[in-house]
Amino acid sequence: MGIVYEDQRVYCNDIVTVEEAEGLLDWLQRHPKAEVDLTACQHLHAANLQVLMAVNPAIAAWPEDAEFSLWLKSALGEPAD
Amino acid sequence: MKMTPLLSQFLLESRDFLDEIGTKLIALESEPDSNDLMNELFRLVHTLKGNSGLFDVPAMTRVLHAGEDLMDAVRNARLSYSQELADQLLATIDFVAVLLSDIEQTGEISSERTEPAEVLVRNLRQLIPAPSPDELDADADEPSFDPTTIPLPELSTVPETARMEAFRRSVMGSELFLIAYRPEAECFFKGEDPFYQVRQLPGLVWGHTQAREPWPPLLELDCYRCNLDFHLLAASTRSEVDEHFRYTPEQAHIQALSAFALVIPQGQSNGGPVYADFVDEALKLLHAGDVQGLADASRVMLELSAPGLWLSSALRWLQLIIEVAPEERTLLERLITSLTSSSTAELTDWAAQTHVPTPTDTAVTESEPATRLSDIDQQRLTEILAVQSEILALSESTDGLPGRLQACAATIAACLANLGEPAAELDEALAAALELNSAQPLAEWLAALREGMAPVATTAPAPTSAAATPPATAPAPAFERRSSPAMEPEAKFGRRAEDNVSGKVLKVDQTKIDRLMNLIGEMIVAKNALPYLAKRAEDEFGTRELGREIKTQYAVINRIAEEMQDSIMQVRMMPVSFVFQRFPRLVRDISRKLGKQVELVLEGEDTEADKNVIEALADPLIHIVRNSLDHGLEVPEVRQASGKPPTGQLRIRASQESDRVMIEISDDGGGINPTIIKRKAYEKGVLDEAQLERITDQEAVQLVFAARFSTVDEITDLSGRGVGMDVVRTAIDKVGGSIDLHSQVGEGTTIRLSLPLSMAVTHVMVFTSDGQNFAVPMDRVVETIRMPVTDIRTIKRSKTLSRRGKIIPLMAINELLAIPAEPQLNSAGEFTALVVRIDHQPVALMVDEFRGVMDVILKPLPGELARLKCYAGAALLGDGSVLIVLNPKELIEWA
Repeated sequence: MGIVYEDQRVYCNDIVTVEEAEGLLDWLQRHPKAEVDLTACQHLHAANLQVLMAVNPAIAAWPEDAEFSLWLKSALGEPAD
Repeated sequence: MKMTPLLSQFLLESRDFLDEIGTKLIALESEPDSNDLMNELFRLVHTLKGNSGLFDVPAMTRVLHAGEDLMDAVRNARLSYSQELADQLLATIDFVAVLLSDIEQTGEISSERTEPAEVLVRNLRQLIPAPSPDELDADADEPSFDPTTIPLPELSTVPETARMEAFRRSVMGSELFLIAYRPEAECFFKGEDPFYQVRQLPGLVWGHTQAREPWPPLLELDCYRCNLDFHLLAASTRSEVDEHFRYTPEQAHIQALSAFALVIPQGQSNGGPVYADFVDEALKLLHAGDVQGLADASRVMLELSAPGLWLSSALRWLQLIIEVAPEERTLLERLITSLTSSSTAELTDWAAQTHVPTPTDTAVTESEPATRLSDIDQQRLTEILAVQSEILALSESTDGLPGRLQACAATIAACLANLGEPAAELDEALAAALELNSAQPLAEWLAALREGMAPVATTAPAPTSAAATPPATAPAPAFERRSSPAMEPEAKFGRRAEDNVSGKVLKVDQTKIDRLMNLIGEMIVAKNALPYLAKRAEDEFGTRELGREIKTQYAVINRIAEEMQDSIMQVRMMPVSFVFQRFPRLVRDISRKLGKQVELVLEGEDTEADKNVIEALADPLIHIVRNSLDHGLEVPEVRQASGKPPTGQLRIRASQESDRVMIEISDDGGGINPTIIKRKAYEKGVLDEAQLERITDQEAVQLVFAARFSTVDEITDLSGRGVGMDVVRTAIDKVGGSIDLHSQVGEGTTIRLSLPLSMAVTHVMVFTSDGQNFAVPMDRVVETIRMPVTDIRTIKRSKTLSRRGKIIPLMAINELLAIPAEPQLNSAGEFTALVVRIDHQPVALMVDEFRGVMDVILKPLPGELARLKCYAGAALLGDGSVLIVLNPKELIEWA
């Protein structure tokens, strides 16, 4: 599953592997207004994480996994709840 | 290990690598400053080492690793290329070759190899110089080396909830660790996922990641360079945490933490006097031991306060401590008192002095050091100090002395801090050293310090032995680790480059090519049947039209078949450099052993010939080169005495002349003395007295090819075993080549080899005798003659001919083959003879009639017949008949 790109939204599902990082970076650059949906995401490879951190896109939904969600929120600059 | 395709591929490739490494090493001897060569060499060894890592061959990997490190030292100009170094590296590749054959034969490396491998590794490592302090200094910034330089996060940045959770777990018996994990930039290429790694940390309470460097503009962002730092708070045990970071200990700064350090109330500090009452009240309750009352009071207080206030935060902590650690009265008291000032100052002071309230009692904070050092830490410190002494004892000639001194001082200062000793004296020593521009004052001070430490240390034997043994070896492993990140990118490029190549070059099993070769051979034979068919169509069936069409078709098929044959031959062609490439090493080794100076000149290395020819050439050439080095070229003193330059020259030149490869090996040595040869030949019974008188000098020189002829009396391990040149001649003969030797005393010797380009197609002269077809290879044929019978002279019952003033022996082929028929004469009463050359002597063979020259695919005779040396083989003709090809040399000698 990994990453699913839609018009202006990218879904990160399950586990996003290292191979996806380059594509993700590229896509996010070409879609600066895109939102990222992390609902079904369980893990992002660190390379993807740093892509998200560098691009800092709008996050449409945080992961369902609470612990993982905390990690991402702290990394992506969202205040922890 | 089972022989898998992967393993056999590895063996195959490794041999190629070894060959190439050997070549590069020799090339480096002549241009030791070439960075390109060194880098290439390093890349080769690095790749080979990497490949070996795929298999369970630790001995090989270790040896190659040591070699790689040594080359890295050369590459980084820490060490200059030397003969000694080359010797060690060559020994390394020889050893690896032995290991490879071990694997090839038995599937594993024999256990006997472990010991030599270790010796080799030690030898290699010994050559690697300790990293200079300059480099130590330079690398000090590199976080991957010393994890304690990775900055730890401020505890106050950790959310209160996480700190509280950690506090709880600490009271439950866990140790607390604050960890700063800085994965190296290249870690993604090693298959690491640092994010996953940290998420899996046992007892993780809190984690945060942030960019190490500010993010570059997106266009420049390399998402595969890790730019993340991870900050973690874990409640676990030391061993678990260490275990978790065991692969990258240099990337994680792990610090044990006191639970009290976590008690940092945070928030808006707009507290007022309204709390003063509460503080009084609370302290009273506390002193009265009414913990429950205190809890109630603080809960009420907390409900009244806005949650974002500093005071609320402090109250939450108060509640937590009452709940989980009510016995910590002092802490509670401090916390309550701090409410009046809304400041953590008192708390933190206090936390710094207090002992960690964990039952295990092992956690250590930086602020309470000396006495708490574990034995292992103590030992490590001693080692570090020992290394500093080593560094200070290094020669002072280098420019980087001040940097080196400061680096040492900084290291020592860090050690002292951990030992709880003052560093003032150190600063004085450093200042003195810098002023004098000498390591002396610092070294002396350090020596005194280390002396003072030894008895203090609780573990008596460890520090002394540690200080005594590691100095020589200690810097090496450190260097090893640090160098690895630097070399990684290079290796990756290398691998990518090879990927590209693999698309263009195909490695094919030779048997497949041979099969193609056989098939095209059959094709040519089948094709050759067409002209016969055309002839029959015309002659027997009288249809000229059909005959002509068959001929047209034949022309087309002929062209295609010939092109096919040509391309297949091209596939089998190899450059002579395949054989030549071993000579630089061979010449180098032998000349060093003999104490001679030899310059090897190789020419025409790209001349190509059939693989079989090239392979057959290898051994004879080595023999010849050894002979030249051993007997031909003189030692420098002798050369100078005879007015030659001290360095001898050995020239090997390959060239192509029509369909033959010529190889010329010449030296400018002493040449072969015909007088000595003659005497030896006489002594060994190769010549009788009459021959001794008659023989010319050039002829005498050819005697070195006679069987069991050796001019050197003592047997060396190089040549002179009496199995030299005759073996060479036999081997060259076998592939249809010839050998020619020319020597001039005092000026040198030249040996010329002439070999067929390909052995697939043989040029033969076909003739008939008693109605049967026979052939001899064209390279034996000198001429064909027709002479009147009356010209035959009989000398001592042997028939001879006189030809251009020379007497040639004459033999009838029928007689030699035991065919009961007389040679036929033509109508003019003349006989027909084929003159062939055998060992430079012409011999005439009486035959019936010539049929012309033909290209045939020569096949060895099958089975037992193959042992009949008088037949070179057989070929199938277009009309389906078998042509026997004779080997005139064997035939005549056999007769």
